[in-house]
Amino acid sequence: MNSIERRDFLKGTATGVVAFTVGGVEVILSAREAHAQNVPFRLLKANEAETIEALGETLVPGARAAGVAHFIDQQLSAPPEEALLEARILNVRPPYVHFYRSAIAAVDNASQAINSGRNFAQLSSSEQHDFVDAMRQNKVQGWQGPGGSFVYLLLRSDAVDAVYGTMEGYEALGIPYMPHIAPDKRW
Amino acid sequence: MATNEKVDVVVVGAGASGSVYAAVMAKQGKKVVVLEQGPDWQLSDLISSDIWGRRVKPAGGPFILEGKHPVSYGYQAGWGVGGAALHYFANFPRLLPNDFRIKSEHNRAHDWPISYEDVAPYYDKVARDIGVSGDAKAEEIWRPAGEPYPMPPMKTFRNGQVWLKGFEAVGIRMAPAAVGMNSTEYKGRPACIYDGWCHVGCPIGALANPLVTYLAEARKSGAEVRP
Repeated sequence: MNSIERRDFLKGTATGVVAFTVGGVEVILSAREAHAQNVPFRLLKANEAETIEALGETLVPGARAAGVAHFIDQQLSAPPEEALLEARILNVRPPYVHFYRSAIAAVDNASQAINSGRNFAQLSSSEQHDFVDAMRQNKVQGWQGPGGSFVYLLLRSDAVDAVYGTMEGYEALGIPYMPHIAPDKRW
Repeated sequence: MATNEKVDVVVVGAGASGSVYAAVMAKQGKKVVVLEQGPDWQLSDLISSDIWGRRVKPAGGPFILEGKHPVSYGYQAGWGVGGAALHYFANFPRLLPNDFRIKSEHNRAHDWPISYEDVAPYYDKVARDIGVSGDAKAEEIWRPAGEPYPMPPMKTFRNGQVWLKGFEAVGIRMAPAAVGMNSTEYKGRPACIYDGWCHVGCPIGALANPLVTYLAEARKSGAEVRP
């Protein structure tokens, strides 16, 4: 990308619009809208998205409907310097999709080992809660992958972003947003 | 393509330090070029959003963190024109006089070869340059008397009053924090409106970031920033 194209791209992201691909055409949607319309994922496989949604929902109720998997998928498909994920701030080595795939594999492999071959998304709500509780303390038996507490931190942050990181999220919390420059209403 | 262009000064990095060098040298008539690896951020890029605000945080390879207790650095660091000072809370505490005499007073580390009195005029100069709000008189509980800050301290809100009451109850004296934010209009920049988006950058210029202070002066004096 040359410098002029790069500046144009940055200006595009500055408006807060987020592009998803629907039927081969890029459309501007919020993550919540992308989830509701079942927009195909760009990078995540169906089982990976399912695990992320189940994890997100366990960590922050409402994350599935808020489109946490679409939010993460859309950000993972952007160049690392354009990504808005907390992974960027928490010193994860790009491309960030490698971390997410390792984390998802760690969660599901451990879940299968502990729960008679069931992935995390197939567990009951209370089983998911117990698994996450052990994960945040690095106490999941047979865990192999990025540190459980770090996976907890990162996925929780993503889920918080999806549910509460928007102007609507602030409103739900009863916190006045008071922006200087408001992000695009869709985000 | 290399042009073998000759300049007087090349400054690497357009952040808190580089912008000061650039301003000082450019105002003295030097031909200054500032090199910066990241984007050429503008005030209009500083969107009020915790998510979008991450764009002005570091991108690319991770920092190498070593030691038993590595400290995550990404939240505080920056990239692009303005650097980390594009998105900070602009706290401007001073070293205390006894910070320069650690060896003499505590038999630890080393004494500095300079004293608080040596650097105090420069603290005052920076305060005038960029605009610092505070109460110098109140700070005399821990430092020698000096110039007043160019602006009165920022407002104290309800949560601050709660803390003040608690400290007062246990006999701890407090003074308003000195901050690089405008409590009143200063040098053509507006006063802060207390909306709390300092950490993702202040697009109105009430917070003293390089784009509205030293880097603006450098550019006005002919310095070229090459992102």
